[in-house]
Amino acid sequence: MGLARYFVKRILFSVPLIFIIITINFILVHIAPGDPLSYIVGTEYVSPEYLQKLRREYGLDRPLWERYLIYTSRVLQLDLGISYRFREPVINVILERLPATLLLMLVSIGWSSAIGILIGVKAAKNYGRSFDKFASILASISVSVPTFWLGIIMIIFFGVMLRLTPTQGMLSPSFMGAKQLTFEMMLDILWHLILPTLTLGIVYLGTYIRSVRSLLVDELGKEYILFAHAKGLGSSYILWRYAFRAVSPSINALIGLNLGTMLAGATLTETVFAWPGMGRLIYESAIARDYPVILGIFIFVAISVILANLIIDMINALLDPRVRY
Amino acid sequence: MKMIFSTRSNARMKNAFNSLSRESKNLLKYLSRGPLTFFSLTFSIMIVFMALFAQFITPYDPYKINPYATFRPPAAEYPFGTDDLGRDVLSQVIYGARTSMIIGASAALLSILIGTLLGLVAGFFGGRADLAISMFIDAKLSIPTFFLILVIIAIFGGSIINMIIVIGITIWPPIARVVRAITQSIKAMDFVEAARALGASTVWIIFRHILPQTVGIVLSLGILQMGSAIVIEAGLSFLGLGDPTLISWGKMLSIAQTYISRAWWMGFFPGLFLFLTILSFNVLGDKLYEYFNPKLRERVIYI
Repeated sequence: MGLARYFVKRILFSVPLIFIIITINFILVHIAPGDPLSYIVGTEYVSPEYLQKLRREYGLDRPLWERYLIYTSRVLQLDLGISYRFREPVINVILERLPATLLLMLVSIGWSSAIGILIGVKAAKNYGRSFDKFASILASISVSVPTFWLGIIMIIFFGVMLRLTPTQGMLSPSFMGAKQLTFEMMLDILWHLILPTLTLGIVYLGTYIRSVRSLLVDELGKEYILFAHAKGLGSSYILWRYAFRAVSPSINALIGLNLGTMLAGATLTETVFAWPGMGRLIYESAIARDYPVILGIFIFVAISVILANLIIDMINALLDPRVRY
Repeated sequence: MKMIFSTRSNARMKNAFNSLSRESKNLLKYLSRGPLTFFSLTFSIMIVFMALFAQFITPYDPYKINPYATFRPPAAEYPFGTDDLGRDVLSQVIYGARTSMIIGASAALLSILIGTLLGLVAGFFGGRADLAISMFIDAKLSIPTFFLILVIIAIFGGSIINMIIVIGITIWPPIARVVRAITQSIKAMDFVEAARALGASTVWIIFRHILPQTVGIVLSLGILQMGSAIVIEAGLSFLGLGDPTLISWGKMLSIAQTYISRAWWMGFFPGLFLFLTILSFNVLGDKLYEYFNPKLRERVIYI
């Protein structure tokens, strides 16, 4: 099977997934308490005639299957409704919060995957020895620590006790309302980024250590590794050029999954540090019962996960012929 | 004749009992190896004990407001200090263990039921049922679990029953996957074919030959799921979406956030117990998984 055919097949495979997601969302909208129209008019009082008109306009007087088709076509055109709270199209509200989340997530996944891979490789190399045991304890702690508690501990220690770093928000008050992004402002954002990214990265670290270690231990038990040794190749050459290369598609897939889920992944961390991203938007919308925004993010996140998986699979297909065949 | 039959079945029972007690002794030995595993075993037993006997071991009434004892730092009188309303933090932490255990155990049980059933159906019958269930699991994987639960709870409200149901029906896919794989591999074995040739029904094959093989793995995954259910509940309560009538570690942390620079103990202790509980369940679940998957235990590497 050629590369092009694999790509087409892979794209076709994700289409039904997107429809399942839209369907789940449609069901949620319709079984949610209250009239679906209330998602459009919000809490404002409107006359019954106007409601009737809206009902016709949005096709709510039609049968269910027809409504489903209308809903699907609207979602596909990125029309996710109007937010109650902001009186703005949901898509604009979401896009406004996107950069802060992308910054936090890319930095956190970046450093935690790099360090996690290094620790995981070293643990696999020292399988069963003390470094391996240390790494597995570290990974257990990392995957178990609740982000919001770790965040609070960070704030108490670095913010309250040592008074080293800022603990809330993304920008110092003096920069607020600035029109242009200056160098000082970028430094200020990075300074605010330290605690949130430390918290989030520590939580991600464990999954990378675990997966890399267990994938590599499997790989290092194969006979071609023994054969490479017999040929007289050095340990670190075998480790990186043979074993690591063989498992890297799986590591890519894991990073891809994390990148895909990152848009929604940081609700708790963003809430603790008042980071103005999507995660905090989810929390605020949940508290304010701003359903159009919640459901809009839901679709947005699910589709971005599917796309991230698609892209990672394509990259893997380019790098690794085994995937294609 | 009847006599003989009953002694024989007695002997069989005794045999089964012996092998069961041998098995559990081995298991206990396996779970006491290594400091972290031993700690996890001890700590989870302690948490279960705290949850069961909360009303007998709390030093104070966790709801009792005392305006003369607000923000007391940890000392002999109040080992974990008191909160903004003068309530004892230790007593609240003990009751919080009960909330976590109830939600964790019920949600894990629900996910085991759903996961085992769907896994069996997909693995045993294959074909369209398998395709539909696998497709559903794939779609489910593209939505982050905590986020999905948060959306549903935000819409329907976070009573304790809602939380158990929503957590239970969202965390079953790992169990379904494993049960499906085990079912497929056992179904293909010769002895199942032989049993069928002898006239065994589908129900008999499932209950006699397949389900018993999944018990260990499902149990270990169930313990891992219990840890996730506990952290999900705490997260929801932390965001103010949980059950407002319950004492929950997450809710305590949420209140503590307001007084973060004034009373560190209000957030530190509930969070510590939350962390250690999840850690213990995770470590125990992993160890059990390893125990029931001997392939994972002793591996060889050529480097």
